[in-house]
Amino acid sequence: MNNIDESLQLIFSNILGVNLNRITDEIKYNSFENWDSLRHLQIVAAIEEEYNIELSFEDITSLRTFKAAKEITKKYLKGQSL
Amino acid sequence: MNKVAFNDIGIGIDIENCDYFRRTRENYDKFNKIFTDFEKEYCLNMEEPYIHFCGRFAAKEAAIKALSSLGISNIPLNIIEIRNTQQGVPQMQINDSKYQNLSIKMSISHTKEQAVAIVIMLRVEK
Repeated sequence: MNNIDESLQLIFSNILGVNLNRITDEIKYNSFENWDSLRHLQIVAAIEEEYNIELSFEDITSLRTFKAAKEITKKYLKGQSL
Repeated sequence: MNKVAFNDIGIGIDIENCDYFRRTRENYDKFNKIFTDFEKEYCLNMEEPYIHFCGRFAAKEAAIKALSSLGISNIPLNIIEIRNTQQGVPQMQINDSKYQNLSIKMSISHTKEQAVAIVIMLRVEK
């Protein structure tokens, strides 16, 4: 697991109020404990603040698993380094 | 009265805890993806802004559900706007011309801890 994965895991853990080890690739929006619409927006705001990026509406709606959160965030960070 | 097709009626209800909005006090710039500038100004002018932010958020979530029941999805929350009439009655509009065929009724209620909202939409030919 790299630094981005770990910091995202920490963001999810803090906002969803669950232990780090429960934040796995498979957890899903509107299914996993506490991951409701308001916390979803908090997660988006935290990712944007942490990495100084702004997610598109399409990416916000696609961010429905932790795995997707990692992929989407890395896509933006890759774009920044070009 | 014109006949209304049942499939053209959308309904949504939502309840929210206000705690997050209370904790985010004075950091409301985080809400750009949820509220319009008009809504932020309105809520910030109230004695307890967090209650009004929470009520409006519940209403927007109820609207998303009502839209979903009409087969409409992926609507950004910040194009759904709630403005009060001069009599203080909240009214909802969707700031996108694609949705001008929707007539919307809504109601919000809250305590200091929770807010609840219901939205009814009617798809009409214009």
